[in-house]
Amino acid sequence: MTRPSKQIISLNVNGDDYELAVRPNRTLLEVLREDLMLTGTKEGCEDGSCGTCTVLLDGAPVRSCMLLAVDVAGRHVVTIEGLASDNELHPVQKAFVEYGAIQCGYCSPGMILTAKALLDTNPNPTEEEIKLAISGNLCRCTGYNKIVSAIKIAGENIAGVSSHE
Amino acid sequence: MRLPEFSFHEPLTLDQAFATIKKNNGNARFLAGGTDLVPLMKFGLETPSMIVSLKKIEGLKGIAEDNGYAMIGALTTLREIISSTVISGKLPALSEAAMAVAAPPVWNVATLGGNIRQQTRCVYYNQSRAWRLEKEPCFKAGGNVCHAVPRGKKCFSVYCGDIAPALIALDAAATISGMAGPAEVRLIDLFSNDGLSPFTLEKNTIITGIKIPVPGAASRSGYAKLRVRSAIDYPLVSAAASVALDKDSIITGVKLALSAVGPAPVAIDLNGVLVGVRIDTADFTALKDVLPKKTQIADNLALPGSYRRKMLSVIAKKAIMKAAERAAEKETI
Amino acid sequence: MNNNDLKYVGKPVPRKDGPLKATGGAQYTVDISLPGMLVGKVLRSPYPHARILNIDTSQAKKLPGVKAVVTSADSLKVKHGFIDTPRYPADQYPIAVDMVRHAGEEIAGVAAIDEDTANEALSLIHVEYERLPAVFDPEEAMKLDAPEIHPNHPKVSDPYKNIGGKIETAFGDIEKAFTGSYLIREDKFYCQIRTHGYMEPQATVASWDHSSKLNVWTSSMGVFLKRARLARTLGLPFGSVRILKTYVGGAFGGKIDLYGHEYIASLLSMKCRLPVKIVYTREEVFKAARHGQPLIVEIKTGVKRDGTILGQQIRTINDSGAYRGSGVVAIFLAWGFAMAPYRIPSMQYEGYSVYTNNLVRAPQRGHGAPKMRFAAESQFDVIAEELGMDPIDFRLKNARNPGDMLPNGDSVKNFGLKECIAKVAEKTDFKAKYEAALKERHSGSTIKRGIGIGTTAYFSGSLVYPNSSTVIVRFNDDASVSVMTGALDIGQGCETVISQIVAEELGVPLNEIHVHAADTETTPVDIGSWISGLTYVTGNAAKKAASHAMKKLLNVAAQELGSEVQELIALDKTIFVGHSPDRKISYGQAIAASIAKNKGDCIIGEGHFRTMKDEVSPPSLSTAKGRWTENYSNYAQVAEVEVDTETGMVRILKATTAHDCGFPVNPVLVEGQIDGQVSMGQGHILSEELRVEDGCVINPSFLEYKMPCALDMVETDYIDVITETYDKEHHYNTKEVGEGYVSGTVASVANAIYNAIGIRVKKTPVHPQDIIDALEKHEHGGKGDLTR
Repeated sequence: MTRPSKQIISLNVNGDDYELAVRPNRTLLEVLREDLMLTGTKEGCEDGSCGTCTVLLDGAPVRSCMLLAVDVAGRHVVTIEGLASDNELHPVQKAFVEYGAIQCGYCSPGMILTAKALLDTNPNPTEEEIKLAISGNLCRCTGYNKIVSAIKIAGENIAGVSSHE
Repeated sequence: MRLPEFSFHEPLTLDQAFATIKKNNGNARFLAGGTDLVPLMKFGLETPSMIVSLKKIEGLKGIAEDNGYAMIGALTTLREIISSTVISGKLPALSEAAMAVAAPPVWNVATLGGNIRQQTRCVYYNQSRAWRLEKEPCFKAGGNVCHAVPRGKKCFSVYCGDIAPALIALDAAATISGMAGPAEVRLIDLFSNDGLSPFTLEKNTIITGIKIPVPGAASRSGYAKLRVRSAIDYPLVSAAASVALDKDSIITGVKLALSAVGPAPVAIDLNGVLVGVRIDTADFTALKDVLPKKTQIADNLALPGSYRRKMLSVIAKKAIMKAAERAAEKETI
Repeated sequence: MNNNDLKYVGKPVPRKDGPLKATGGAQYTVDISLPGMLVGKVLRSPYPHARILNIDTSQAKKLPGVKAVVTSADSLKVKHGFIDTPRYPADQYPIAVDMVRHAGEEIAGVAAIDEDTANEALSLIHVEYERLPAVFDPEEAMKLDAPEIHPNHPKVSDPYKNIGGKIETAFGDIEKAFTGSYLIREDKFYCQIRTHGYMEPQATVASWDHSSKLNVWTSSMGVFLKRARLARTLGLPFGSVRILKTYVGGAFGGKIDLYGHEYIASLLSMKCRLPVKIVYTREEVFKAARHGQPLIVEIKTGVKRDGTILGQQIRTINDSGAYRGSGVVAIFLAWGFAMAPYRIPSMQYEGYSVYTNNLVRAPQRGHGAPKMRFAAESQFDVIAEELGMDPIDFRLKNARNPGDMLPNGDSVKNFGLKECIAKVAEKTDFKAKYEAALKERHSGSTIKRGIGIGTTAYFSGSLVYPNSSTVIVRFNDDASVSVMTGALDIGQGCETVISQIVAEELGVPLNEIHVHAADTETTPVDIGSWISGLTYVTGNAAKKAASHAMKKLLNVAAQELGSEVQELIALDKTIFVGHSPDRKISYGQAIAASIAKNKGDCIIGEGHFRTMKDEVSPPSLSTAKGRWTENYSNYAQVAEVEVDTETGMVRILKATTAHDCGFPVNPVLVEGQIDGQVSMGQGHILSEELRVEDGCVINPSFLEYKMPCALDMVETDYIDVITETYDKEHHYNTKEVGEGYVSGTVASVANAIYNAIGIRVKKTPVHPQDIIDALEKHEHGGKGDLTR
């Protein structure tokens, strides 16, 4: 069999348009980490069970290790590198830093993006809603408590800012 | 782990999809959400020469209520199913089953059709190529042994879908498109009960949609799942039930379906057991004898088969009670 | 000075690396990419025990894109080991020589231009094996007819086989203790193989450059130990090996020792003079890295009628896997965790570390404590019940008092265990809930609630290479501060803690403290993030370094201001003469003056610290003689559980921890450590188990190895028991908080399950089927414990 050729795809990552030549068997995770050098997105398992590779695809959290890059051509991807703007941390990032939700930090990018997507659709989630939202993101350091509180506080901070405006 | 190489196609219509396969004459796999297929490919358990993505084909997505039926496109994501008030209101078992799948980020890409058509699983099979090389190939990997059932003469891999049992309990049918043209098949009839090749569908056919009769107010459904963790895990045993009650809370009909009990989901006829009794006095002890006989549980998931067999009646009862409580609520409204 | 006057120490300040980690900017080993870097892969043995008859790499070497292939023939055949002492010499080659003793053992390595080529090259290496009989159960392996994995340890004369190490120790008169006992209990407990579950897999980048220097980035727990092990096995001078800092995605004990892939990546890079990166697949982590310590504990305890413990006899058996690993350390530590928290006047202890054809063991958070405390605390509850006492009173009666001396010569000093037990019992309303659960046991409800307690005392730093820490504190011209430390932040937050201490001593804000850490070339030696002594040992070194720098700064200021040092007060980076506040000099001016007048001294402070400075050597791993540590932390935890008697599923509703960690330098980091341990303990007692069949791991994935997820989260609450102080002028005694408490969760949940359903848990994990089976037995009039 001849080797399947590369395909040209366009991908908007963190607001920038990229045109990339990729073989069909490459995952979105591989393309982000290896071609775009966006190494904030991590790999933790091979079977889609740990959530460290979570990115936002058109705003929704997805596991980038289970998506073919060619299959998401033309779509908008946000990685952890795209969350802070103008040197200002996103409220979720800020709350994670301030309230002890980060230890080793390896799950943090996926966890933060998952939380951001939750708060985008549900700014005032209950504790149970938060736990459910991040239930697919394994963390071995924190026992999850401080992550849940940080997300709750981030939600309150976002709501506070928007009601103030 | 890297994926093996394959060519990638994105047909715009079903006809194009079938034509592409025919033209390339390869070993094709259809790609929907990919959450089942991609890990299988990483482990070398699926090695298609071509992937045909269904995403660009119109008409495979969406939820509509039409003429007493809920019609759901096969490419509808689990997230869309979970968000639908029609489904959560009238077909709660389907909502619950979708929410029981893996974890929320998976709901955003996994599809209804893909979830139904997931491969059967086994701890001795769902392993990397390197892992499997250390053992003799099992039946499902093309060999002649079963590592789960030492002298087993067949494959005991387990169908672990959450959604199929809900659809079976809801009396759903699937519309199928293939080389021979569309057809409608009862959900339960999609399954061959053969671990090697779990579906009755011919190769290169597509489930295009699911059709579910919307039950009247007296009938409601529920789903219960046993697993170690409250998310991520496939079921160890799961049950979906539809229960119809009359105004005196007497059961007038029960449909029960089980998953993670063998190579196929199982529909259980309980009409002789539970129909005609009041739900609050119903005796579920009969389930303990009836259910294990209908299943082929082996030691091939996270917890032992002996335990999973004991849990059949417990989980079935939970599903039935959930359904009954909902039906009773409807009655009082 | 009162702890309340402190500005930075004792405050819940956010971790310094938080923003970098929250934005994806923290570079872990897996993220490192160097020009020309190759992909390295390791060929591993498929068999648990075999002789290697031949390795043919010729075809692999010919594959286009392959740049180097190595086997033991390319190595110096120098053994390494977690322990390398005259009694316990190193026993493992970093790449197998002639024999393999566990599945997954390293046979060969390849470096190629990409992963596919490297994998293909692996498939082209042909190895001929002669399979040998294997044994996987430690008690089976001890039998004389078991296959021999290694000859018995020469000093062990017992009629057993495969003994890698033995420890024997005793104090008091155990015979007399048992003769005088009102009640004697004998029980046997089993713990499973668990794994660390670090989210970042094992990963190493090695780059041998043309100046004959080996640069290594590796996901580890301390750079100096890695340097020593790599230099020795590669035959290089220490100065030719540089381990550089990377962020570490979790470790929990599993990244201390030398791993085969670190050696192989280095060897490959030395061969082809290009950087080589090896990253494990998750499956490799499960199948070829190291796991925690399974332990069998037999425990016999005698007590007086009033509950006073008179004596305890303990026998432990550790399955050390195919090499000695940390097995002999685990059986030593298990002894310590038995004798430290409670007064036991007579004790006899023997521990065996047994070779099997399982994977090698590494320390895992708690290193023996969760298993020993599970056994001891469970038996305490059994005894208390038989005596008609409640679990709290029994513990209060026997817990050590401050100042107690341990049989090894350690003082427990300011020991807060009794206070922890009393406070946690009070806060959780333990006695009332305990009694209520007993009454509820026979009610109709299928959900039963229970409450239980577990306690621990844990060491805070000991003497193991590299034994000590040095910190350098350097003022920059603008009076910002650079701190050089060999400490490696593995997520616990040590860079933050060190910064807080330096900030406190210097009066310089935290954001002006810059830590340069964990580089064997540019930072001084450090004890490492693995013996629970970092905040104590490195922290005190940092304190001394900062006060050394401060002393120099004040001396200059005194010269410049024409005053005595004792008159000076430092505030907001300015030094004032106390009685005339208009006489002042800024830190920056003082630094400039020092450079101008004191032979260019830009003000650098250095501090060194070692625990137990008068002890020459670590404690004996054969007799347990010798001091262990200077500070014992202790904790008491209460768990409240719910048992579903229909499904056998146990849910931990809440874990309340009273902890004496000395004083919390950073309370939010302390809470984070406790939460993480509760979660890990939850996995240990309820769901995690490495399933191994004939040496093959059948659940090598995060899907099938069941670490708790957020929906399984346990609500936690904390009670501070503060027994130490932090004074600016003096050395401080703070205590461990990072690993002892896994034990508390395991033991308290086991006891809470008993309280809920009346079934004594004697093995971990407690699977739901175990609960169902035990309940069925009890229903049929049987008694019986939940055991293996």
